Amino acid sequence: MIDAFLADLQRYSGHSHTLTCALAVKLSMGYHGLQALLGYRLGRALLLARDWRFWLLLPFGWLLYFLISRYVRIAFDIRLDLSADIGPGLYIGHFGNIRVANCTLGTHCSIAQSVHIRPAATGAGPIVGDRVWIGAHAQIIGPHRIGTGSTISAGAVIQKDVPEHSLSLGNPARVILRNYDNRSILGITK
Amino acid sequence: MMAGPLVQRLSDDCSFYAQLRRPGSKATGRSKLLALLYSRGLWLLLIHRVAHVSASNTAKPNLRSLKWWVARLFEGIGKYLATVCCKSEILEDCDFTGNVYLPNSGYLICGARKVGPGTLIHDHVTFGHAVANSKEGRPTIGANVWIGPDSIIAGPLTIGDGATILPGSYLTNSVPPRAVVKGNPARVVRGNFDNTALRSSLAVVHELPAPASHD
Repeated sequence: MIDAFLADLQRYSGHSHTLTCALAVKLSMGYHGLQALLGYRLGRALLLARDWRFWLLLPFGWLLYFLISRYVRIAFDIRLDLSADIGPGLYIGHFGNIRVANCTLGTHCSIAQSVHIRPAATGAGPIVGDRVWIGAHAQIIGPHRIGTGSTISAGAVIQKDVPEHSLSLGNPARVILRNYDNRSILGITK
Repeated sequence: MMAGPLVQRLSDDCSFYAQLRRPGSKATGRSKLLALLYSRGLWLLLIHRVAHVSASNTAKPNLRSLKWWVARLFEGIGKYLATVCCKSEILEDCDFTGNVYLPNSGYLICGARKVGPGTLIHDHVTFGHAVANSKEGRPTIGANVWIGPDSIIAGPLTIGDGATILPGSYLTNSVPPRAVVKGNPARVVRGNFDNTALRSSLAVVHELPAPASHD
């Protein structure tokens, strides 16, 4: 989980700076997405803690998790539910009305404000691949698979599976471009 | 400093909100105070006006000047309050010329360059750069525009005066004056619509009334 949070910090620091402790603290205080991710990674670490030596620390850990996640939920309305499995390197562009629950997100994804990635009323949640850029106000609701490297444009409402490396747009979402390389908007050059 | 015009501007904003809360009534001192207490959008607008004035006055960093530090302090507190209370973020150099309605429910992310007078912006609206469209720039909103909730307006586009953006639209191209735009991707649905009735209250419509037959 520490590696996952370090990967998140790398997304925010722009890959060109070496990550020092001072830079990590400065970024965490400035970016709401990092505060949300701090709570989420802590919660996931606590959930998956198996080593008996950590059991004494668990109550304090859960208290810290509840403080951070409630603050982020009330102040910025970012809800990264612990039922979601988010890969390292998530970048949350803006705050506000973000719901990620019961889904699988790959590594190095980007989400923006008003994005809902959650299951419908009943059923499984979405499975999103790596390096997916999800634009503002997009809705991925239901058991859909989003392929690796695809781009979900702003406002898109996904209602079926999305192929890899494609660009989807519209409500309902249609694939309008195949083989769309989104590395420039993700900010990852390697 | 700039207190006089600023206070007048804030008073005009309170009148605008008071008239929107109760359409058709005159804005008295009491109704303005009630509007100020009850409208989170008005708090957001006031915070932004203060930040805008202080940002334009203290553009050059001058660490020795107390005025600069006070301006930065107020800006920082204001931005945090806007984020937490109204869940909104407005860029400091966005210029709201004249009266504008910002949403009481919040969730406004505004990167527009300029917003004209008499415009109503509802909640969950994003004004941003366009990214996947290979055109980057900030939108310019004209006067007397009605923007419904859940809209995205992105790119170097201009929204003409008197236009109407129906809820849930995703806009990347410029909108001619008095046009009605709807959909994702957005299309002009009607060419000539007078949105004065829409702009006189806080009601939200999702479809336009049928066009009146001309004699």
